[in-house]
Amino acid sequence: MYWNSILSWPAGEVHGGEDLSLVERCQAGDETAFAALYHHYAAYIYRLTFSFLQHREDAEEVLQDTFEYAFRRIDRYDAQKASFKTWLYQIAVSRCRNKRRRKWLPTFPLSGLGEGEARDELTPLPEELLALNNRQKQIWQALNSLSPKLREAAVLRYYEGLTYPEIGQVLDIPPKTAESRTRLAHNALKEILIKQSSEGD
Amino acid sequence: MLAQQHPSGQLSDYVLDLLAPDERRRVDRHLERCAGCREAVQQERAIAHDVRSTLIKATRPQPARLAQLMPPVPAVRRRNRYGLFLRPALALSILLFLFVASLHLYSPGSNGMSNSATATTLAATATTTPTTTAEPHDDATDSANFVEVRALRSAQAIGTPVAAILMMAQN
Ligand SMILES: [Zn+2]
Repeated sequence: MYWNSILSWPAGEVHGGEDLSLVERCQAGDETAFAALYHHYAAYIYRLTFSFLQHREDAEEVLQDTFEYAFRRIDRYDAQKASFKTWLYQIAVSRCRNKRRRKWLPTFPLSGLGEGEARDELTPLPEELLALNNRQKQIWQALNSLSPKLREAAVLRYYEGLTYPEIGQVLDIPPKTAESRTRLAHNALKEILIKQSSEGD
Repeated sequence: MLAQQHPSGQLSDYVLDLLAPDERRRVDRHLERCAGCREAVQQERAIAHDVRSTLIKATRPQPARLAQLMPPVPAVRRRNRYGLFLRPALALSILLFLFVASLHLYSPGSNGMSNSATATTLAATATTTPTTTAEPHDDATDSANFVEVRALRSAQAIGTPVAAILMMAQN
């Protein structure tokens, strides 16, 4: 099923092909095309927003916001300017930033996760996070301690596998800035992980 | 010859694909000969790999939940679909009405007698309308029916004065 094919974007999504014709059908007002478009992209956008915000309910809310906006503004999508994926990503990124701003997002309460004790009983972890092994919990925590800007770059590079010009387009920054943010994120993660493993010993 | 000059400061850029082609080739040549730097490169790569596998596992969506989260399709779009048909249909019905009304105005038999005859025909037509409105309710078909009924009524409205004159002539 489409939900499970997460590892890479469908081939040929950039210009033309199935996606573009779906978008065109939406632009022509075909209701079934909106549902098809949602089913095609929702899992990708959810994973992106969850990775950025590291909070499931917020990720769900931003997912809805993103599609609500995309549906309403589908007429404004221009295939000449960006791939549909990039357009959706741009919407999701700005909505994540708004969400963070509105919430003054406190970092997700994961302190003590590595030790697996002294957790706040009132904020149970979603089951997805309980399924992580120790190394993965460390990674999740390390990502959480990055600034949002660096986390965005790290997610888009490592997880989405985007090129630097693509990262720049999604984040609305020059490719060189995308490169330097990715480098900073990488070095910060390396440092945090080294520190964590030395503390664990 | 330069085996001891480890490009340690360049290894993260190497992994991130941020080196210029000539620098990259130099690091490649070094890595062929230096196990220590190969090991360091593996550790750099492990970060990217682990971030990826962590996020894949941590952000896995539930298909049923995602389906619940789909926002409604904007209402404007639904209207637009019929709008393409409705507008010409409305314009056509107005045109027909005006055309028929003008005919009726200048027809020779327009007097008190024919007016009452028109009223009876309209009443008769009204009894036929339920058959058309019994069809599935849809804006577009309603409007099409509206045009049909209007045209039918108008045709009868022109026809009745003629029939009335014929009846008077027979008497
Ligand atoms: Zn070396």
